[in-house]
Amino acid sequence: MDGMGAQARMAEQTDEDSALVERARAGDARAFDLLVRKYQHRVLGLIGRMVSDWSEAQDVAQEVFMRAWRSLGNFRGESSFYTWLYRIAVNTSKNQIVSSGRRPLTAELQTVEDEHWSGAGRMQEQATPENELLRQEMERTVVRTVEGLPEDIRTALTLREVDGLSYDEIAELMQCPIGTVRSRIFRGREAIDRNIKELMP
Amino acid sequence: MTDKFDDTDAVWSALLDGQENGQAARFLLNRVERDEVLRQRWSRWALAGDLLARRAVLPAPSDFADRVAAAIRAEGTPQRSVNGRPAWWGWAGGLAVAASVAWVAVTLVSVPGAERVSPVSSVADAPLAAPPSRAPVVGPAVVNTRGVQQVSVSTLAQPVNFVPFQGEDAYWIRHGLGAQVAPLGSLGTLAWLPRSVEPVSDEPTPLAAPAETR
Repeated sequence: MDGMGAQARMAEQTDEDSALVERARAGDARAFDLLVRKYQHRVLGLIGRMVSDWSEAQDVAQEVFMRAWRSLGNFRGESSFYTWLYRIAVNTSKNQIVSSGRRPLTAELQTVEDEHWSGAGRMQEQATPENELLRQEMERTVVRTVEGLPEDIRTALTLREVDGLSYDEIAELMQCPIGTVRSRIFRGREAIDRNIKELMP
Repeated sequence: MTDKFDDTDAVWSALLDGQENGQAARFLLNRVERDEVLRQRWSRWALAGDLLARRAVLPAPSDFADRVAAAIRAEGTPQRSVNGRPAWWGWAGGLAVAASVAWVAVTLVSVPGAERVSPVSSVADAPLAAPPSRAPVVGPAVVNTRGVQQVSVSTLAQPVNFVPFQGEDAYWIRHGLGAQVAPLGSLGTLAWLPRSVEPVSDEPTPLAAPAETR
């Protein structure tokens, strides 16, 4: 499933955000706001591995989204929106490191290449230990909640979030209507949301 | 877990996955502007998905996106490009074409001895009741006694005429040599134009339609 999921994710990410991106390109700030809310955690996670101060990391992240907003007209959709945003984030972080008189460590830049977490031991590279502890607690909550979900909901949600399958593909695999897939994924998200809402900073 | 839920919530969830782009999604986008709860939930759903997939994330403060939105409002909407070109490109292109047309018209009208053919004559000759066309139509092309082509542009429907350059003229034009040596400051001299041009009838000759313009 992993290989298939990775392929599906790559193929789908190309246009997953296309509707929102098109609206944002046309000047719809609401659509762009949704893109910010969707990717802010990932962008902060990325920047947090290069910029040590949490406040500074937030400033850099804000600058990343501002740059993205300004240059959205140059985004041609040849890659996924997040890939494009990721490049902006890396470049902005490097610029910030250089402009503040620091020299980017090779290790810092290498960790940027790993989008997925490799577990504990990264805490010292995080913006703050508190943030890392919060992340770990949230991750445990999410996993625990998903493990407690009914199997059909857990399967639909996992196929979507972990394997990156489209609703059509999930419907085919689970042999159910696409509307059922949609409601299962929604119910799974709601179950998680009830548990992590109180943990949010 | 309850079995009943608002279907718009499921649509909202599908929108996060890029799986819902229809009318319902448009409705939600209008609604989200005044629904902070909806926006916060969207953010948490995204975070939950990232955590489940074990992506390297750090939970953003609840007001982070609002700060970005405020900064965007303060800055305003930037000029967008179209098809990878800046927005001003189209205007600049239009200006360049207009300037070229004006320059050619001025040049040709000022040629000593050349038969003056008013660019608007073809418009004046058009029947008054002619139905307007949606796009500007290139009117009859007229070649004067020096073999220089004049084309009028009209918003009225007109037969499209075009007289091609022939012989040596065609050679010069094909190779763009005329344009390369064209002195910008000598609009009336036409020194760069081919000289051995056989006089061509002033009567417009219907030929192929011009290339489609954008």
